[in-house]
Amino acid sequence: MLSSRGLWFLVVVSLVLMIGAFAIPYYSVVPAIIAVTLLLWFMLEWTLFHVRSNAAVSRLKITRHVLQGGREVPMVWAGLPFEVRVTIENPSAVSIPFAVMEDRGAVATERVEGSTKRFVSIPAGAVVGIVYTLKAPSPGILRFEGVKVRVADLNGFFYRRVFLRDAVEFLVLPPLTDDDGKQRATKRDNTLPPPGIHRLRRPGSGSELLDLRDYRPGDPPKMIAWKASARRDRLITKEFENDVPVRAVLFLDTSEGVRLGPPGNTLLTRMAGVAAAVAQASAGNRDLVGLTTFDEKESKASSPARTKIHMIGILRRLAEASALQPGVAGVPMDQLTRRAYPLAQDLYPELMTKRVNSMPLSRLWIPLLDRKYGWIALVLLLMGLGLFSLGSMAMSTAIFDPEVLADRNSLKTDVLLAARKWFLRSINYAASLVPAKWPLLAKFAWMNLMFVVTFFPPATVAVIFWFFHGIRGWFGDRKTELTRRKQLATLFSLQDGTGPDGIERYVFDDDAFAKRVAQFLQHHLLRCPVPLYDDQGRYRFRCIEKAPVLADAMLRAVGRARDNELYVLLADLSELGADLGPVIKACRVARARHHHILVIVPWPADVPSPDDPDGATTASAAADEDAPGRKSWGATKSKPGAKGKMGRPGDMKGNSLVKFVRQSLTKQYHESFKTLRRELGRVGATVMRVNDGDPVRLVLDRLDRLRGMRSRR
Amino acid sequence: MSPQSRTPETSAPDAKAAQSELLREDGSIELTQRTRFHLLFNDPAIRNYVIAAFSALAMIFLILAQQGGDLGGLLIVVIGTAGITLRWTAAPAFVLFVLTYFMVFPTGAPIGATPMSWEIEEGLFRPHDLMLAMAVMVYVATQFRILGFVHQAIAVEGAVRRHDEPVTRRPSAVISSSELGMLMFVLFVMVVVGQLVWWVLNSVEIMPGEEFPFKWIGTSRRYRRLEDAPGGMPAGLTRFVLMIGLFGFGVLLARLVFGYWRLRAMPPAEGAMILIDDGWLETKRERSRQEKWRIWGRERAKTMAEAEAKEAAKTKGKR
Repeated sequence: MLSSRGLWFLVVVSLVLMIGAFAIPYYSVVPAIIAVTLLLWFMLEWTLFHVRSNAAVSRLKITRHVLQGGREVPMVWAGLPFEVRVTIENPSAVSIPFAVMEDRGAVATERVEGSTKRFVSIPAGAVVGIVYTLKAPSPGILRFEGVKVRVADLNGFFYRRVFLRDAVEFLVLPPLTDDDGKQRATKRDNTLPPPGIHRLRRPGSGSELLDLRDYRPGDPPKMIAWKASARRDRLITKEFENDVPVRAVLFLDTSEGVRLGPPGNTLLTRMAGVAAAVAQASAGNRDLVGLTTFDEKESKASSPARTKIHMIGILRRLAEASALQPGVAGVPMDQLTRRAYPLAQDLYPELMTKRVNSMPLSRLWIPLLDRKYGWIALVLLLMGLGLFSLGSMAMSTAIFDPEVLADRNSLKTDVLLAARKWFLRSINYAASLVPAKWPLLAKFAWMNLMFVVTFFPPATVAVIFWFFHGIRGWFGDRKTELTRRKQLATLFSLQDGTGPDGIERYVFDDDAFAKRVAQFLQHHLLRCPVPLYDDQGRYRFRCIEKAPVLADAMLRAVGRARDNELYVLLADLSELGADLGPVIKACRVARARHHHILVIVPWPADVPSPDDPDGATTASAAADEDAPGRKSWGATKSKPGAKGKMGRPGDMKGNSLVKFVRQSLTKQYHESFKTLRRELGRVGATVMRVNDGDPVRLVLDRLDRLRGMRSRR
Repeated sequence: MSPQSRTPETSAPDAKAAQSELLREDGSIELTQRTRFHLLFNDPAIRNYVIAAFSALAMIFLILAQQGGDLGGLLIVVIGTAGITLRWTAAPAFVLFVLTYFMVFPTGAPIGATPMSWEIEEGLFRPHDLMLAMAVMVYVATQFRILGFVHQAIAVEGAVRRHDEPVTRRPSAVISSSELGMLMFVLFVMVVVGQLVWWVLNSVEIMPGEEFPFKWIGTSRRYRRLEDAPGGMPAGLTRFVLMIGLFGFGVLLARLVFGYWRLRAMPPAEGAMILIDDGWLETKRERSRQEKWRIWGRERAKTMAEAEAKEAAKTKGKR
C-alpha cells in the first residue's frame, strides 16, 4: 500500500520533526510546525486513500461484451476483427481520483485498434470503459481473465492493485472459406452448387440403369423391363444405380508433437485450418464430411453429415483442438514455478500477498536431519551434552557426596573422576583466555563462552554447523523457490478445496506439483517451453502411441463406411519411422474396400523442402530466432548471442557444429518423409506436405475425381 | 502500437497536435526532456500546478530574505526549480532540510545561533510562519503531483522498476478543474490544524503521579519557568510522549476502523485463504514430516521395485 515515495516522505518528515521538536525548538519552531503539518497532511491522505480503497475499489464491477459484425457474439471467427468492450462500474458513493485499468487481453491475438489500457478517474456511480479491436489469426480459444486496476493517491504515496476477475472464454472458429479455400465474401445460400451426389453401383433410386434381374413379387410394375421380359418370356425388372453423396472423413492428429510452438502458430493450428477449409468446401459441394481427432490415447469420431449444425460442430471441435497445449512432463520444476508464479501474482494479487499467504522463517530453516551427515552433527551435539552432564554430576558429587569418589575400585568412580578432571581443566583453560583488564561482567560472560566452546570442541563445531546449515534457507534461490512454491501450493489448495493438507504435499511432491502447475497454466492458456529432447538426445514428441490409435480409428471408419470414401489424414507421421506399421495395415484395409486415402503431413517451418536441397542452409539459418518450444532443428544446440560473436575461433567452431547438426537433422527428416511417402505410396495412399501447393484444392480435386470415377463406371 | 514505438518528437504541426492529444490521454508514454518541458508549460492543467509551485518557492524566498536568510531562500528556489523541471524526486526532502538549517542559521554560517526561551510561546500563529508553512506545503504537494504528471504516478510493480516496465504517468486529461483549488483549501486547513496541534503539544503537561496524568498549563507559564513542576516531565520529554501518544493512538484507531472495514469487505476467497494459511502455520511441522516420510517411502518402494525387476530379469536370463 505504501509506496517507496510515501515511505521516504514519512522518514524525511519524521526526521525534520525530531530535529524541529527536540533539537532546535528554542531556535525556531517553524521546522517543527511545518513537519507536524506535513505529517497531518500525510495522515489525511492515508485516511482518504483507505476510505477510497475500502469503499470504492473493493466494489468495482466489470462487464465484458465481444462484438463481431456489429452484434454481440458467443464465439468469433478467425481472421475477422472483433471488438471487445469492457465496462467498469463504481457503484459506491466515493470517487476514485486516479486509476489505471488494463484489460488482460487474450493470447494469440493481434490488436487492430484501440488500447487495452486506460488512465481514468472514476466518479461515484460512474461507468468507464475500455474499447479495443482484436483479430485472432488462427482458430483456438480466447480467454479473457479480467481487468487489472491500479489505484493511487494523487501524490503517489499509496497504491493498491486489484484484479477484477471475470474469466470468459470464446471459441475462435476457423475462418469461413469458399471452394478455393479463400475467405468467403459472398452470401453462401445464393451460390450453392447442385447437390453433390454420385452414382453408386448398388441398387437404388438413381436414373442410370445398373442391371436387370428376375421379377420378384412386390416390385413396382413401372420397373418391369417389358422388352426384355418379352424376349426372355418371363418378367424382368430393371435395377437403377443408387445416388449417394461423396463422403470424406478427416483424421486430425492432436498429439503432443503437433501442439508444440507459439500460440496460434502450431502445426496443429495449421492442420486445423486446412481441415476447416476442406470441411467447408466439401459441405459447399453438398458432400458429407466427418471428423475424427486422435492423439496418443484415444480418438473421437463424428460420422459424416452435411447439416449446418454438424458443420458448426466440426468447426467448434477444430477450434477446441487448436487450443490444446503440450504437457509439461520433463520441464524442470523451477521453470514451471517461474512461469506460474507471475501469472498467479497477476491474476490473484489479493491471495498471493504475504498477509494472507505467508512464509515464516521457521519453515525456511533447513532441518539438520534432512541430510545424512546431519546425524553426525546430532551425535556430536548429544555427546557434548552427555559429557557436560557427566561433568556436572562429577562436580556435584565432589561437593555433596565426596565419599563416592573415595572408592578407588569402582568404575563409576573412575568415570566421575575423569569427568571432573575434564570439567576443571576446561574451566581453567577458559579462565586463562579471559583478558585481565576487562570488567567483571564481561569477564564472566567471556569465560562462560570460552568454557562452552572449549569444553567439547566437536560439539561446538556441530552447533556452528547446525546454525550455518539451517540459516542457508533464509537466503538465496532456495528461499525464493520455496516461498514461491508454498504460495502457489496454498493457492492450489484453495482452488482444489483440499485445505492445509494439500500445501505440504505440493511443496514436497514434485510430480503432484508439476501436474497441478501444468493444469493451472493450461487452464489459463499459458504455454510453458518444453524440452524437445531427452537426456539421451532423442526427440521426446515422436508419439508412437498415436499410430495404433489412428489405425483403430481408420478401421472403425472403414467398418462404418457405406460407400467408397475419402480419408484425409492430417497427421505428423514423419517421425514414426518403423512404428508406422499399424497405419499401413489400416490403409491397406481401406484401399481393399476401395476407399481413397490422402495423407497431409505438417511441415516444420524451419525445415527446407525436400525438393529444394539448396535451401536447407538458408532456411535453417532464417529459423535461428524461432520461438522456444517450437520444433526447430537449431534450437537444441545453438546458443543465444552466437551470431554476434562470429569473430572468435571457438564460436566459429561452434557455429559450424550447429550447422552440421542442423544439416544432419534436416537430412534425417527428409529421409523419414521419403520413407513415409514410399511406405504409404505402396499401399495406394497419396502423401503430401501441408505447405506443398494448396492442400484444400487437392482434396477437393480428389473428391471430384472420386465422384467422376464412379460416374464413369 | 506499443508505447515504445510512439515517439513524442515530431515536426509536422498536425502530428504535433495529435501527439499532444496522445500525451494528454496516455500515461504510459515515456517523456523526453523536451516533451516534459512542453507538457509543463503548455498543458493548461499542469501549468497551473507549475505556477503554484513556483509561486510557493517565490514566497519561501521572500520570507527567508525578510528574515535575513536570502542565501537559504535562493538555495531553496534553485533546488525546487530543479525538482520541478528535472523531475528530481529528492528535491522536497532537500528543501525541508535546507529550510530547517537556515531557520537556525539564517546567514548560512553555522555560528551565532542563540536559543530564545520565548520562541515556543510566541511561535504560534505568527503571520509569516503561517505563510511560510503554507508555501512549503504548497511546494511539496505540487512537486509530488507534478512528478506524477511527468514521471511516475503509481508505484512500480516490484521493489524496483523492471527494464521493460512502462512508466505510469498521470495524464493531464484526468485532472479535474477543481483539483488545484481543493488542494489549496486542504493545505490551508492543514496549516491551521498543524498550528493547533503544536499548540496542544506544548500546552499539556504530563504528571505521572497524578490521578489524571494530563494537565493543561498553556504555553506562557511553562516556558518562562526555570524548573519543571514537581512530579512533572521535562518539556521535551512531554512533547515526545504526547507526540508518540497522539500518533500511536491515531494510527491504532485508524487501523482498527479500517481493519474492521476491510474484514467486512473481504471477498470469500481471501477469507478462506487466511483460514488455510493459519491452519498450515499451526500444523506445518507435522504435515511437513508426514510428507517427507511419504516421499521417502515412495522413493524406497521405487528403488526396491527396480531391484526386484533387475533380479527377476537376471533370473530369467539364467533360465
